[in-house]
Amino acid sequence: MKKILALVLAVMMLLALVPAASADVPADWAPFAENVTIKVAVYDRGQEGVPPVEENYWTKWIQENFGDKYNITVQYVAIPRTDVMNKYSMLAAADDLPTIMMEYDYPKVSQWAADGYLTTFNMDDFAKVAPTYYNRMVENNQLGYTKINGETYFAAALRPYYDTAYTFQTFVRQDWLEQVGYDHVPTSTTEYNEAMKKIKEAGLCEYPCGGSMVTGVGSDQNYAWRIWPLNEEEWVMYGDYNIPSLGWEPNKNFLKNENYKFNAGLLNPEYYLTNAEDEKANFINGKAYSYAGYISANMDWLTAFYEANPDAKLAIVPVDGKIDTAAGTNPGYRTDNPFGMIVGFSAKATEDQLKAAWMYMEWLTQPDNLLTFQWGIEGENYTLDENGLPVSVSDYDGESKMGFNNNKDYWCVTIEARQAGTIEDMIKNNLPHDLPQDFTDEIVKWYNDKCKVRDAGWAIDNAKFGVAMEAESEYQTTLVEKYKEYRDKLTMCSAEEFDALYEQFAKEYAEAGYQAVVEERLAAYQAGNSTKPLNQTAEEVDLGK
Amino acid sequence: MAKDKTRDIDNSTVNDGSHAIRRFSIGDFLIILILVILCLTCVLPFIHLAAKSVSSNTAVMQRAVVLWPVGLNFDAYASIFQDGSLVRSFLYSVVVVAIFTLLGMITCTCAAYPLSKKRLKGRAFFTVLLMIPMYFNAGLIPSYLLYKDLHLLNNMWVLILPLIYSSYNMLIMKNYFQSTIPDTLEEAAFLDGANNFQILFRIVLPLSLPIIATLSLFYAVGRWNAYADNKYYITSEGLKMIQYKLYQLVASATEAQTATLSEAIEVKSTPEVLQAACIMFATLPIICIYPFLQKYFVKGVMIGAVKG
Repeated sequence: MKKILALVLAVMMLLALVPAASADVPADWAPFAENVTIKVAVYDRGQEGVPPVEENYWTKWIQENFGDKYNITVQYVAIPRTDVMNKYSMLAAADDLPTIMMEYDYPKVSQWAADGYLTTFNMDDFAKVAPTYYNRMVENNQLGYTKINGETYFAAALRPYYDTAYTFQTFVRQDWLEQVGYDHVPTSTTEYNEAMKKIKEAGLCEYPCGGSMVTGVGSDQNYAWRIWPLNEEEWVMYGDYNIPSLGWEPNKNFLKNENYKFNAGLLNPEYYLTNAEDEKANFINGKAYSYAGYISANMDWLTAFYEANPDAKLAIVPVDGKIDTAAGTNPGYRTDNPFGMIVGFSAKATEDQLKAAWMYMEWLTQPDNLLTFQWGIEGENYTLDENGLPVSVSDYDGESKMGFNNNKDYWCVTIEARQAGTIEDMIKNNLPHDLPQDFTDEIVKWYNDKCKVRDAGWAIDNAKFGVAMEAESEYQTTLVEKYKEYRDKLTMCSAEEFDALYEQFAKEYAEAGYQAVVEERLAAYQAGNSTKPLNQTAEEVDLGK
Repeated sequence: MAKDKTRDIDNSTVNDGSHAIRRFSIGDFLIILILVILCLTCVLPFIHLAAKSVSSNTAVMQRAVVLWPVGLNFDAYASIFQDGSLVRSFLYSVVVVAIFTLLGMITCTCAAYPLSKKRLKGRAFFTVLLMIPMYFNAGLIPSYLLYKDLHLLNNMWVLILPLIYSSYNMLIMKNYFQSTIPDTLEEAAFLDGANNFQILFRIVLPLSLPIIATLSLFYAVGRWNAYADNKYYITSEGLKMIQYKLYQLVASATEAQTATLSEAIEVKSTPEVLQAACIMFATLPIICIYPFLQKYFVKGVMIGAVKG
């Protein structure tokens, strides 16, 4: 019975992920005549309570089920998650780079390519050894990300639902909204600001907008403030979120709104001293209207929230499909990268090692292997529910205990998320079930609405560059630090001062290196070394209340 | 000794200085106040951490724990002992520190003693040579390459051998030998037929216990607190020292936000309660031992510092 269920699951996953791919590794795979050793990079996150990353039950499982079969020795190389680039520099200096190297950030891997760490390869050869992996890249339009300066350097892992990522949600106080006369959650900027004012006036919360200090990378994202139709050159020059785009209209409008919230007393006046943990504590303590976070089966902050506020009622902020002309915002949103890990191969790898590395990736992509690696051993790491879907045993502590986040740092070489069943099943399994409220239906609706907004053309991705961006590496740290200082001054100044101050800071910011950064990006774009935006025009969508 | 003390007390009652002791001036009050504040800056964070480590997760997330536990529970400590990896790491760190301190003291003595003797030819040259590492080092990548060639990477000895020689400690010891052990003592021993080793082991070292205790403490505390070499040269979980594990715990919490953005998925750090418990677990034993060693610490530094 279990075998049948596992098979059904495997087939379901196969259908969901790789519709046109074969279910088995290629028939011409044969064991190597002489043992081949491959080294695979794996993040060491310094987590307590998970098995050692370099050697554990699952590394042995790989060796026994894959390595021994093809006369390959698979070794894992721990890469400290907080010090990735230094570690790789040292490994490179010692001629000891792992055969399989991977990272999430495109600038990092293009740097490796520029530094000569990576080998180029022929994608046709890859396709012969790893057809499932290759076909999946073709089906998901990922081949464009595998090249730098026309040479193939990478394979790209799959990131399911990258443009409709439903796992990050904003939770808001529905009980407060009801008390000030709302029967729905405000989605547009104008309505949101009005609602916050009412909540403040009603004395429900002193600073409903809360707020916390900006931390640098990814701060102040302005996707909803972008001006449509998108200008392609501006998108290339300013669209990235790693360096905030001070001096660009969407950023200015975003900060103007922050300035309004601050001066209207909606934002916590000490937001610049509030770190992420304090912001979370403020929400739990009823001192903020909303808090956004990733959903998972164990959301400790939600548990804490209900313990502290047993009568409170929360809601998810729905997707908005309308343009808010008064505020200047629209449904534009950032997609995640259309790939998971970007996988490169050591410049020192021999032909056999390269082949063995590709075999490793292909083998892991096979649904039955992936199923075991992602979910563990049935009856130990997971059980099957009434629909035959796996449910992880969260407190399992036996021999086959999995690594951080269900072995993710190993199987991320092929895919970025565990999948089983329909989207509804996945959302349901990805939420806590011991809370007073269940958000499954709301998030399912959120996901469906997001698909509509995406189809209407509102998804914005960031430009990726096929050349190493030197100005970006040189100025990023300085600019991010400067931005923190400027944006706080702009948030806290009076509304009359704002425009003049913004202009002054934008000039200083450009001189501090931002001008060089945008010029370099533009040059790369004009030389054909960048990706193109997903869409340039978009239409409103009526999603109902 | 008891007699001397009595005499001191008698004298102090006669002297005018006793007046100052009895009178409690504003100056005294200010000094005490400053000292108390300084002490509190060290003690309060520690008490805060201790309170967090035995509080409930919800209370900690609510920021409700200040100096007193809220929702008392010892789950975090239970999981530390149940998991065992931190306990193992602690014991391993003790072994590394013990070997490191022993070898460090041997190296230090072997360098300091000859250099403190005027009869050593080329003494100035060797002193300068041995002081160079105090000002210059090879840098991370050359060191990494060297250790790789020496097959020290991912090996307990990489945490011990590279650091056992310390110019600073050697200079303190050399200075101590020169200032405290009179040459005449050595000459007398020579006349009695003792050789260099006998003089070192039977005369010099027994007279140098304070400096040995101090430098041992320098070595031990230095090794206990250092973690960067673990990060670069060690990859096996079992070979990591406890301070590095703590560093990883804390660093992963501060880095989680950046990593989350990069990975587009939540990167959870170790819960704060468990973090606090781990830090307490690693720190408490040292804090318990410290008061007993402190008297050597103070005495030794003074002896080494003043020549005369």
